[in-house]
Amino acid sequence: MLALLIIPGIFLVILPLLPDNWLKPAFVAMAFSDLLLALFVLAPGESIDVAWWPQLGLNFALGVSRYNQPLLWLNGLVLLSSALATKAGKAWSPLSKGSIFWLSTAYLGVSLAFLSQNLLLYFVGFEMAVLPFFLLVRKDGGENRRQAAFYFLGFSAVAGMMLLAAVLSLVVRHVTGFYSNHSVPVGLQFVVYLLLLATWAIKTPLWPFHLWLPQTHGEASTPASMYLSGVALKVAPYGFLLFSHILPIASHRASPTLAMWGGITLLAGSLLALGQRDLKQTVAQSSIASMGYVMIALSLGTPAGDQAAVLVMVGHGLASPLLFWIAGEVEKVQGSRQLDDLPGLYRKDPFLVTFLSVAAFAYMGIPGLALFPGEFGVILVAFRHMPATLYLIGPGILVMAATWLRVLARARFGGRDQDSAISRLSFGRQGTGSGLWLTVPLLWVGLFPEWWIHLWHWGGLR
Amino acid sequence: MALGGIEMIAWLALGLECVIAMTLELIPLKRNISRWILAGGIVLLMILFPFAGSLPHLYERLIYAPPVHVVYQELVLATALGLTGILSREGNPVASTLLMLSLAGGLVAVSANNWVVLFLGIETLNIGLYGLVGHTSRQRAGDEALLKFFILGSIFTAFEVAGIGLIGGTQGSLQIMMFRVPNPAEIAGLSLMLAALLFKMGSFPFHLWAPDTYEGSPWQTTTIIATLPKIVAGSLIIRLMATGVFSVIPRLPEILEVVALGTMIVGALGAWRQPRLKRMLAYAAISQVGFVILPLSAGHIGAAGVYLVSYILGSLAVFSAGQSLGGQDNPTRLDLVGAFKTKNRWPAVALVLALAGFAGFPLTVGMAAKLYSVEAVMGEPAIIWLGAVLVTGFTFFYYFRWIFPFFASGDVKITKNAGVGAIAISQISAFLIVVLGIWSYPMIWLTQHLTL
Amino acid sequence: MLLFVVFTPLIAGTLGALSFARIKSGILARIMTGLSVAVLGGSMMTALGPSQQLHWTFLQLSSYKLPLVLATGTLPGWMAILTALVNTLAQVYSLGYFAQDSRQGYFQAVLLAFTGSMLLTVFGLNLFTQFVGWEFMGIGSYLLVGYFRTQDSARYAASKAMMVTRIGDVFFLLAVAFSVMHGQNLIAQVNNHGAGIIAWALVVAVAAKSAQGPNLSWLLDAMAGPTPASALIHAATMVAAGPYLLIRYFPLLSHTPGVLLALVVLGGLSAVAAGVGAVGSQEAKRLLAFSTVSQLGMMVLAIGLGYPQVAWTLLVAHAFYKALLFFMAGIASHRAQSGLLVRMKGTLGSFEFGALFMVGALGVMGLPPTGGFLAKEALFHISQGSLPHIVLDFVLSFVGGAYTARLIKPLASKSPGPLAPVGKWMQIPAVVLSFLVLLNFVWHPWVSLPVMPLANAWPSLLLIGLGAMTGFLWNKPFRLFSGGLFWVLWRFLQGAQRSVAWLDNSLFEGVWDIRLVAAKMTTVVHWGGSGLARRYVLISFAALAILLIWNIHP
Repeated sequence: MLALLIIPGIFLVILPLLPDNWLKPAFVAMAFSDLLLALFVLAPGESIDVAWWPQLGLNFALGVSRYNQPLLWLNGLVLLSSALATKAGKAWSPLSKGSIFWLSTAYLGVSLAFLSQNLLLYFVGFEMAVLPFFLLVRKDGGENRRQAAFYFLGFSAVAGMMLLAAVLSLVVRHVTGFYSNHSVPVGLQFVVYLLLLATWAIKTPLWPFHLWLPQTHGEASTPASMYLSGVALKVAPYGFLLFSHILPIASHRASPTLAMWGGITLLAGSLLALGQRDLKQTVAQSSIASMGYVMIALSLGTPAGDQAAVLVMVGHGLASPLLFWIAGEVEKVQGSRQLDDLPGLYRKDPFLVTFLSVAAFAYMGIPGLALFPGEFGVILVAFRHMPATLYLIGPGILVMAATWLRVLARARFGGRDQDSAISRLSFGRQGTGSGLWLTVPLLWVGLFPEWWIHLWHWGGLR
Repeated sequence: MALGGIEMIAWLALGLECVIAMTLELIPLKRNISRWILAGGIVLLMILFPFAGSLPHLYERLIYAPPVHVVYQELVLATALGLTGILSREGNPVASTLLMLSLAGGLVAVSANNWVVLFLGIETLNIGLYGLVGHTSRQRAGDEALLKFFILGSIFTAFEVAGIGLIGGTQGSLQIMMFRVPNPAEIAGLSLMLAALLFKMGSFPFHLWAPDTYEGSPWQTTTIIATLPKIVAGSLIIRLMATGVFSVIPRLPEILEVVALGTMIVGALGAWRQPRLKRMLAYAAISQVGFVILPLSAGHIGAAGVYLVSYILGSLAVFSAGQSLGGQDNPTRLDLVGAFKTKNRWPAVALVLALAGFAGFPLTVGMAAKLYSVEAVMGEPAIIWLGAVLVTGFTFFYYFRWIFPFFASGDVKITKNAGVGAIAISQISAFLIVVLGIWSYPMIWLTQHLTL
Repeated sequence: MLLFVVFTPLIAGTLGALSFARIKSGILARIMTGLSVAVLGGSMMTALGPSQQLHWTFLQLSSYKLPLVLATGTLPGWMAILTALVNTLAQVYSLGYFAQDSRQGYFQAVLLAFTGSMLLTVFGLNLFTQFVGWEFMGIGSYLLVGYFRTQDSARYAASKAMMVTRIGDVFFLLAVAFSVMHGQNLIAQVNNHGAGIIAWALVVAVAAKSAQGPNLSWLLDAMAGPTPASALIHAATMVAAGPYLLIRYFPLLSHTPGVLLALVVLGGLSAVAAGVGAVGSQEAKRLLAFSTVSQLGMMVLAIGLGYPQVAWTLLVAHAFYKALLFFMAGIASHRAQSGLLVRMKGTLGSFEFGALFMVGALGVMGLPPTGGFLAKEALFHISQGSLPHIVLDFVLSFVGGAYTARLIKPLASKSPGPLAPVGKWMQIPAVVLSFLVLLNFVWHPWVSLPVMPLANAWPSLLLIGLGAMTGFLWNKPFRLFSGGLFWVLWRFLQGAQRSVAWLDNSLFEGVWDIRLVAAKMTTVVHWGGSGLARRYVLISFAALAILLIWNIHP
C-alpha cells in the first residue's frame, strides 16, 4: 500500500533529472507499475497508522477499504491512459516536465486522499490533488486558459478552505479519524456539514457551483482533462462518503434536500450538455450530470446507495477520460472540436468514431457499459428512499440521450461520397492505447459488475 | 551551572567577533574572506550558546541566563548564519560588519531581562540595518527607502523610550516582569512596546514602510530586513507572551486578532496582481506575518513559533532566489519564463518551492505551519478562523500566479546569476522547507521548548 | 443450447460489426448468414428440447439482486423460431440486396446482433433481462436505420428512433427498478404480485417501442433504413417485442384496473389512425410502416380485449406477410430505383412476382387463404357483443382493404418495359415466406384458436372488399400529421436547455465580476502604500492612538 505512494514520490524526485526522451517511457512505466500494484497488492482491511504531527491531529493513517479500492484501481488506470495520451510538441497534449510533474503530484494527492483514514491527511491529499490543476490548465490548453485557470483556482480555493475549516473544527474536538469513536455534538455536526457542503458543491460539482468545470475542461490539455474528470473529480464525492460517517445526524437531516439537489444537478448538467456546440464542453457538462447521480446515491446514506455511487464513479471515471481523449483526437483529426465540423468524421477515422459511439452509449446508460450498473443502482435506491428524484432523473436520462445522439448524429453521419473505401487503420496507430485501456474496462465493468464487486469484497457487507 | 567556569564565554565571543569584523575592514583581504570569518564565528556562537551562554549572577537582572531562552538565541543566530551567505561582493566587508552589529543587537534583545537592555538591543539592530540600507543603496529609490525606514523607525524608537519610561516609572524597576495590578500608565507603556514590536514585524497597521523599503533596497538588504528584525521581534513577542508580560494589556486578544486579520488581509490584497516580484514578496511577507500573530491572540505560543520559523525559511529562500534570478533588477513575471532552462534553474526551483510553502502547499513546512496557526484559533469566534482560511485561499491567487511563469513555455528571459552564496542559501532553505514539512520532529521539539 | 442461441448472435454480431475493417465484407456477410441458419436451428432445438433455465447474477448491491434469467418455454420457443427465421431470411435477402455494398458484412453483423438482442428479450424470464435485450435492440435499430450514413434522412430517422424509444425505455427502466426493489425477479412473481405501476410503465414502454399512439412517427421515418432491416424490425423484432411483452405480462395487466381499457383505446386509435395514414401514403415503404402500426394496434387491441392468444396469432401471421411484403417492396424499389408508388408502376408485373406479392397482400388485408384471415377473424370473434368494438373492427377491415389496394394497384399492373433482373438471394426469402403465409392458414401449432364459425366472416370480407375498391379508386395522396410529439419534445428540450444556459451564463458573468470587488478593496491598500512618508507616519500615529485609547479607556 505504501509503495503506491512511494513510486510516484520517487518519480517526482527523479523527474527533473530525466533526459527529455525518457520522459514518456518513465511516466508510463510509473503509471503502469502503480496500476499493477493497485491491482495485485492492495488488500481490503490493510491499514497503517503512524503518528506524523500528533500536535495537529495529522496522522499518517492509511487504509484500504471496499470503497476506496475500486477508486484506487481507477486512479492507476486513468493515470496510465493519460500518460499514454501525452505527446511531445502537441499543444493539446504536451509532454513536458512541468506538466508531468504536476500531473504526478496530483496523482499522489489523489492516492493519498483515497487512502487516508485521517481527516487532515484527507485534506492534505485533497489540496495536492486540486492545486496542481491550476498550473496544468494555465500552462497548456486553449485560448481562454488564463480565465479558465483562475476560475478553477478561485472555486477550488474556496472549496479547499471550507474543507480546511470543517476538518479543523472536528480536529480540535479530537475527531481526527474517519472511523473514530468520538461522536460529534449535534450543533457542531450541522456547522461542519454546511462548511463541507460548500466543498462538495464546488468540487463534485453540484449545479450551480459547477461554473469552473466546463471552463477548465474546455481549455485544459487532453491528459489534464482526462485525469481531472476521471479521478480528481471523485475525491470530493469520496470525501462526502467518508464524512457522512462522522456526521450521521446532519447527513440524515440533509438527505432529502441533497438528493433533490443531486437530481437538479443531473438535469441541469444534461441540459447544459445539450446546448454545447463543442465536443469537449459537451463531455464536461455531461460529467456534471453523472455527478448528480453520485450525489443522489450518496445523500441517501444507505449501503446500497454508497455502492451505487462508487459504481457510478468508476463508470464515469472510465467513460469521461475516454471521451476527453476522443475529443483530443478529434481535434487532431478534424482540426476542430466544434460539433458542426464533425460530419464525415467516421470516414476519416472509423475507430475513433467507434470509440466515440461506445462512450456515448455508456453515457446514455446502455446496459453492458460501465455506467449502467451504477446508474441503475442509483435509480433503485432513489425509488426506494426518495421517489421524488425520479421526476428529475427520468428527464435527465432523456436529455442525456438527446445530447449524445446529437453528437453521434454528426460524427457517424454526413460526408459526401457513399462508397469511399474505408481506411484500414490499425490499432497500432499512435495513441490508440489510451482509448483501449479505457474501453476494455468500460465493457468489462459493464458486463461483469458482479465479478468486480466480488474483488472489492462488497459481498461481505451485510 | 556545571560548567560554571566557561560561563559568559559566548557573550565574550560575540563581542570579540564584532571587534574582529570591524578590524577586518581595515585589512585589505579578498572580499569573500570576511564573509567566511563571519559565518565561522556565528557557527561558533551557535555551539557556545547552549552551554556557555550564561552570565554571572550579577548580570542576570539584565540578561536571562540560558538555557532558558537559548531557543530564541539559536533561531536568531541561525537566521544570521543564513544571511551571511547572501551578502554579495559589493558592499563587503562593511556589510559583514553591519550584519554582525545587527546580530549582536538581536541577540541581546531576545535575551534581555530588562527593558533598557531590550531597547539597547533593538536599537543596535536598527542601527545596523540603517547602515546596511544606506551602504548598499545605489539609486535614489534606495535612498528614499532608507529615509522612510529611518523616519518611521525613529518614531517607534521614541515610542519605545516613552513606553519604557512609563513602565519603569510605575513599576519602580526596569526589570521585565509580570504585573499584578495593572494601571493605565503601565498598560500604555506595554502597549507602546507592543506597537514597536509589531512595527518591527511589519504588521498592520504599522506595515506601511515595508513595501517601499523592500522594493527600494537591493536584494541582499531586502533579505536582511525581511528576516533578521522579524525573527528578533517575533521571538520577543512570543517570549513576552509566553512569560505573561503582555497579558496585562486588557484587550490583548482582541488587539492581536484585529492586527493579525488586518495584516493578512492587507498583505494579501496588496500582493495580488503586483507586477514586480519584490513588491509582491513584500506584501506577501506582510500577509505571512499575520499568521505568526494569529495564534498569539489565542495564547498559542508553539504555533506562532512554528509559523515564525516557516516564515523565516520561506523568506530566506524567496529573497535569496530572487537575488539569484534578478541580480540588481526587480523581475516581472515575464522575466521568469523559462528560468528552468538557464543556469538559474536551481534558484528557480527554490523560489517555486518557497512560494508553494508560503501558499501552504502540502508537504512543505508552510502547510504544517498554516495548520498550526489556524488550529490554534479554532476556539475563537468563527470570523477569526474563517477569515484566516479564506485569506489563505486568496493567497493562492498570487502565489500560483507567480509560480506559473516558471512552467510557462516561452523564450528564456533571464540569465543573471548571483554569487554562489545566495544560491546555496536558497537551496538550503528550500530543502529545509520540504524536509521540515515531512519530518515533523524538529517543529514538535520547537513548540515544546519555546514555552520552557 | 439456450446460451448458444442467445449469445452467439449477440457476440458474433458485435465482433463482426467491430471488425468490419479487417475481414472482407462478403466473407463476413456469409459467415453471418451461416450463423443465422445455425441460430435458427438452435432455436428450433431449444423450443423442442427439454426446458432449460439459466440464472446469472449480474449485480448485487447490498440486498438488491439483479439476476439475468433466461428460460425456454412454449411461447418464447415459438417466438424465437419466428425471430430467427425472419432474421435468416433477411440475411439471405441481404446477400443479394447488398451484393455491391462494401459494408455488407457490417450490416449483416449488426442485423445478427440485433436478432440476438431480440432473442434475449424473448427468452428473458424477468423484466431486467428483457430490458437488457430491449436496450440492445434500441442500439441495433439505431445502427440499422442509420446505415446509409450519407443520407440526411437516415441520420434524422436513426436519431429520432432512438430518442422516441428512449422515452419508453425510461419507463421500462422504472418498471425494472420497481420490480427489483420488491425482489420480483421472475415474470411469474411480477405477474402475481406486481404493482400497477409496473403495468402502466410497461404500457408506456410498449407504446414507444411499438410506435403506438403519438409515437408512431419514428417508425415511419425509420424507413430510411435498408429494406432487410425494415423487414426484420417490423416483422419479428423491436416493434413486435411490444405486443410480445404485453402477452407475457398479461396476467399483471389484467388485474391492474384501467390498463386493459387503456390498451383498447391506444391500440384501436393507433390502428385506425395509422390505417388512414397508410391510405394517404405516396411511398411503398411508408405505407407498409403505417400498416405495421395499424396491425400492431390491432394486437394491442386484442390484448386490451383480454385475448392475448389472438394478439399472438396476429403477431405470427403479421410477421410472415409483413416480411414478405417488405422483401417484395424492396425488389420493386430496387427495380424502380425509387420508393415512390407512382414510380414503381409495374415493377412486379411478372407472374411469379405478382403472385408472391399478392399472397402478402391477401395476408395483410385478412383474406383467405392466409394466416391473416384467421387472425382477423379471431379479432372479429372476440369483439362480438360490443358495438363499438365491432364498428372498430369494420373500420379496420375497411382501411386495411383500402391501403392494400393502394399498394397493389401500381405494383401489380402491367410492366411498361424490360425490368432489371433480381438475384436468387432476394427471391428465396419471398418464396419461403409466401409458402409460410399460406401454410399458416391451415397449420398454426403455436396457438389454439377458439372455434370460430367462419360463415360469420362475410361482413368483414365485404368491408375488405369495399375498402379495396375504394383504395383502387382513391388516388389522391395526403399526409397525416404524425411527428407532433417528437417535435414538441425537441422544442421543449431546446427551450429548457436555452434557459439553463442563460442562467449559467449570467452566473458565470456574475462570478467573474467578484474579482472587481477584490480589486476595489486593493485600492484602499494601495492608498495606504502610496509612498508618502507623511501619510505613513500619520496612519501609524492614528493606529497607535486607537490602540492606546482602546486599552486604557475604562
